[in-house]
Amino acid sequence: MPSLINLIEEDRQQQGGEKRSETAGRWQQDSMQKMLTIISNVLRGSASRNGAQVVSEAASMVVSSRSYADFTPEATFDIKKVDLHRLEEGPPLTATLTREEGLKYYRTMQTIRRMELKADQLYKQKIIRGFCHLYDGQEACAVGIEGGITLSDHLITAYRAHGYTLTRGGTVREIMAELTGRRGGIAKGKGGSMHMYTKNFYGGNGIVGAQVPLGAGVALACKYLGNDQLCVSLYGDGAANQGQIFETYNMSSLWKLPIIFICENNQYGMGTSVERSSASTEYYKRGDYIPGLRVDGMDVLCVREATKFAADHCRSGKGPILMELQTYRYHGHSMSDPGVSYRTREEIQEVRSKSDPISMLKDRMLSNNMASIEELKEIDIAVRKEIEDAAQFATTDPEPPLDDLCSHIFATDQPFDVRGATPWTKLTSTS
Amino acid sequence: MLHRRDGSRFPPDVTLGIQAKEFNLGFIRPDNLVSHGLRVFRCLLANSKWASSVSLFQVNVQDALNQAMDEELERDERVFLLGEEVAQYDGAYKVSRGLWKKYGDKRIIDTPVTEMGFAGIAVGAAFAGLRPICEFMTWNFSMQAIDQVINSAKTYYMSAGGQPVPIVFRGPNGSSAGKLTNIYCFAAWYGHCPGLKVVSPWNSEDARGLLKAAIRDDNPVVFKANELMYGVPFDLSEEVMHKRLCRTYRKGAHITLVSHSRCVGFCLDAAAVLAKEGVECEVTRVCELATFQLQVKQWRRRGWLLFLWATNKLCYFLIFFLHFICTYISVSVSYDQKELLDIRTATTHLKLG
Repeated sequence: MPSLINLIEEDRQQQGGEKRSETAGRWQQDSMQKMLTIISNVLRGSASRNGAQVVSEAASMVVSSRSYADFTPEATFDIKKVDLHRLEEGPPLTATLTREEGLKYYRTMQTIRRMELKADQLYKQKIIRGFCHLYDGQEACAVGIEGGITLSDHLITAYRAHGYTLTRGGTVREIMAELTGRRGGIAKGKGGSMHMYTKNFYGGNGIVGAQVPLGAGVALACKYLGNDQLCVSLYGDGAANQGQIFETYNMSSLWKLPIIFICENNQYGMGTSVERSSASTEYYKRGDYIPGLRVDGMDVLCVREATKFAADHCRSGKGPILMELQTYRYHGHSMSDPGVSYRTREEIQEVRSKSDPISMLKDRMLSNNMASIEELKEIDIAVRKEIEDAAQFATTDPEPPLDDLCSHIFATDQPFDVRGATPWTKLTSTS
Repeated sequence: MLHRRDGSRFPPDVTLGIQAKEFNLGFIRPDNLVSHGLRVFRCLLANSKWASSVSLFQVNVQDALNQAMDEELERDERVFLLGEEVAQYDGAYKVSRGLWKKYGDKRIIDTPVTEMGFAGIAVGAAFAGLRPICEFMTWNFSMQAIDQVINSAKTYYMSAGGQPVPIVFRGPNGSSAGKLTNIYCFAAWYGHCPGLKVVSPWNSEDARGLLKAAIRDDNPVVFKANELMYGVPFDLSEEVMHKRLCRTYRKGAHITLVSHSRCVGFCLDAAAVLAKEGVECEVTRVCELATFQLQVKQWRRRGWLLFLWATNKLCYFLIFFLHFICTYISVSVSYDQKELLDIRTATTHLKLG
């Protein structure tokens, strides 16, 4: 055992003794003490503790004892060049990622992924019913956009909204309880999959394309109130052909509204590929007089840098800007769509293996020594546990009470009677 | 002040303008009872034989609407008007005359001819805390934007009270002189949407009072005036009259005539003719088209009930709507053993453009 301790000590000295602070020294001493205790316990074969646990504790102690001094706090990555429309310059070609940011993005993306897969599972068990549009594969979009704006900015999207609800401040428990329609849900069980709201997040909208003018209205309010906030208005490749979106381009450009239009191009609108639905698949150019960017939507850093660029453009008063995020969804359009009648399984597998956003971030962090595999595994385990707890809550929470059926019809009104299914049934509505 | 679940307040924390007491369509709030009572008393005074002691003006419906919007724009900085030709043209029907000169481009916004787009923008602005008045040039054009109007009504419910939508959709509705196009009445269409308050005033006092109440209301309100009433002058007292569930213009014991918008005028004319023959009619205007079934109790006293509606008699919506109302009345008064005969009159079953 002395040899093991010596090895560790030498290793640490090699890392650069001058970097050691006083606290680090004390910490190292403590950890050394703990390690010795654990090893001696193993040798003694103490019956009071589980052998495997002791060994894994020792392993993690050995591993983490070489952690914080080793990891790179910050690294710069090359990101894909962005296609530009009516812009002289685009976002930068490199992005800086700190360790904390990396872990945060990893955790959020993993949470979205696990949450969507859990929703899939619960749907197949018929615990979630109705509509359920899953977001796995597109996590980099939600996390990257949130990285480029602040929580005081506004965001509105269409029905594939679970990921955005999370990044905008919702918790997994609330989201899953809303999907199962329980009173602990983010909309108390009355909104469902497509109507989740948080502060400065306006859902979740069921009508394809209708959220884009709503987003422009929010941007108008930001300009009216002069609060230097902006609105991000998302839509898909299917919605990109809607007339009201072009009406919105016109008005937001005319009035120079602080709005970022984002087209999440996941190549398929339900089952129609972009080539079969759009005469022009260059969605970033569809704004015509509005400057546009085409961004790799599977790379969270690319999305973040592009969003920061777009946000600066809006905040400087230049008016709207359009971003097309090229992304992909692994699941079908909704839970009733197996997702393979209009595309091949090989295509899905190819994207999963080559461009998965979580794997991409993980590889980047590991290859630049920004985190260890164990640390990321711990995050995975913690996320899994969080999702399990949330699913448990969502399954066991009671449904909203019948008294709630007619409440919230009108705001700030006195309670009034609402006719039920027959002329003699009356329910009360409270605001 | 609404407090959302996450602790944020609606309206937003930055309050502009004076937060006066809210008046709501159709319900008396306890904290307003005293001031409302005083106002009602003064107005009853105005309507009674002591009318000469209270000052009255002759005001067109159009000017009454203009006054209402002017007062609300002044009172609350979050209120703004958008629509086609509302600013520099002074309004297609001159309802917003002078407002652009007074309030400027920020508050009175001319939009391009894109109803769906600007209706959506108005609803979005309401989400974010402003109080828009969205004007449609006529309600026929609102069909282009009907999705945004109808779905604005669902948001408060489906967010379980988290996201109110304080918006007013305004415009002329129904028939006009000598026209064949853009004269359809959409009262029944919008009246069927739960969560949407649909109001259709008749005279200046109603128009002004209801528009003010609509703007102050935190819910989506569809405000339908009739273009032919715009130029008709009525007496208008200084006080604002609103908050009547169903407004009765004439009292009578034999028959109740129920109507809305311009048809109220026809009912009053008919009542005047019938009075000479000894039939006393009670003429009532429906305040909120969707909820008046709750006010049916006051009509139970009458033996005859006649609905005058400016839409197609055989319109499916209307059939269900009125049939349900009449069934409800019949069921609720059957124990009175009065023969309740309800007659629905409406326009001929033709769809003009």
